[in-house]
Amino acid sequence: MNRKNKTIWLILAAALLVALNMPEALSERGKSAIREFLAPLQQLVSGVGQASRNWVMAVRNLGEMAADNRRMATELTRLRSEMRYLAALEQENIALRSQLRFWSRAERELIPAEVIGREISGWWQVVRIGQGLAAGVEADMAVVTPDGLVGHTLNVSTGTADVRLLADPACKVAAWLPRADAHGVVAGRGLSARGLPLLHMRFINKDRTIRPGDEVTTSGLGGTYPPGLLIGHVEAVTVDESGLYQSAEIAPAADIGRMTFCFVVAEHRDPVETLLRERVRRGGPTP
Amino acid sequence: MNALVMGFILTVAALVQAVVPAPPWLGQAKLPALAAVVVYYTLARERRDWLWAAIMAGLLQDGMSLIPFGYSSFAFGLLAIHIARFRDVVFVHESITHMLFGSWMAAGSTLVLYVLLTSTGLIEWTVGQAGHKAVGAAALGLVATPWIFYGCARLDRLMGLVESTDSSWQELH
Repeated sequence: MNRKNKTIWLILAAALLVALNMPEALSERGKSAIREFLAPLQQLVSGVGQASRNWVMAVRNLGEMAADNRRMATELTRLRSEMRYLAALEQENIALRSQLRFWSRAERELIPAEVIGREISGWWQVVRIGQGLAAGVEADMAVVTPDGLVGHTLNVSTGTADVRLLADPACKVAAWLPRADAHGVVAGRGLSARGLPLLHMRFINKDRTIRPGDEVTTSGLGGTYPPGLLIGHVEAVTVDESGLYQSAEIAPAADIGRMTFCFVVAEHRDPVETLLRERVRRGGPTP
Repeated sequence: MNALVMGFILTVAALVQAVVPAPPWLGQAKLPALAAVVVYYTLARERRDWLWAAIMAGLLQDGMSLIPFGYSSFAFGLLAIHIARFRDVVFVHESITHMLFGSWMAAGSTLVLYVLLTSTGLIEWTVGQAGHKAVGAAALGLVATPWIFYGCARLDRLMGLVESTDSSWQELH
């Protein structure tokens, strides 16, 4: 090995050592800077891509537009009447809760966000959205589409946030089967060869009867996901090898693979509760 | 000017890599645009340039993903050093050379990253899944690298950073 080659190897080894031992805060700051720098460009590129896709779709579906309009008008009418009914129910709910002196549920706000890019390395099921700290997005907030839950926020910078999708093996959600009144944990299993997200629900009580088609929602346990968000539907049920619990394959309700727009669920928590959650997360003392 | 052009090429490559979806049937391998740019600099430019290109491409990839800073730079650097050893014994302007080295860079960097990411517990991929992804990356590298190489070379010549004296290169394109 000649002298020049040795120098290059030494530079590379030193760079790796520095990178591996870099403090997390510094590393995060560097990543944030790169994300912020590239976010407008990513937004532009994905916007152009989306516009051209929409244009092609519009041309292709020209004949179906009138039928779609009629269908959407009917849907709108139905949803409006449903909203009026739900508003009345909510009033009644508030009145009953106040009579029973129940704590009111945290107020939820939906922050709309556009998907501006997908994870560049392909090792994780993560997308980047064009809303960040400036819009009130924080780490560990649930992300939904009108169809159902898609994941939770991960790294947040001023104008962007990474969303870990349900299909990612590291994404675990405390779930509930309302019909069977059974709890479990939904975890991602990546994508199938056809690109469909694979979800698996484990630790379901073996004495409960689970059927294909059963709805799966978030249970609210664990804190990240508020209760009642639709995750998907049961496709198949199996009993674990140990015989201690049941498992189920879940078909996600939201179209995770083609998602271009989503909503971050921001819960306005009590400041004291937020402080306590933060302390618990850090493993510190609680009063 | 050289740094500016390199920065532009790497930024465009990173954006393309981020936007193009990863086909599941190729093991979720992404289009190796950044790896192809590193191959271009390794084969067509001097040592200082390709080392910088490898480090900057890695930092961009890590900055835009969940990979810790430095991992991709190490992977690209390692593969670039290996490819540079063959510079004097291959036809550096032939498309077949770009295809083979692009394929090797994409698959090799995928495997190096797999080792680094699993050893630190950041991913839970099996060897089979990683192998599938490496084969997918190799296939994408085979197809994409000649085009990216050509684009980079055209831009460099346009900016006057390299001279177009190679007759075989002109004949080919």
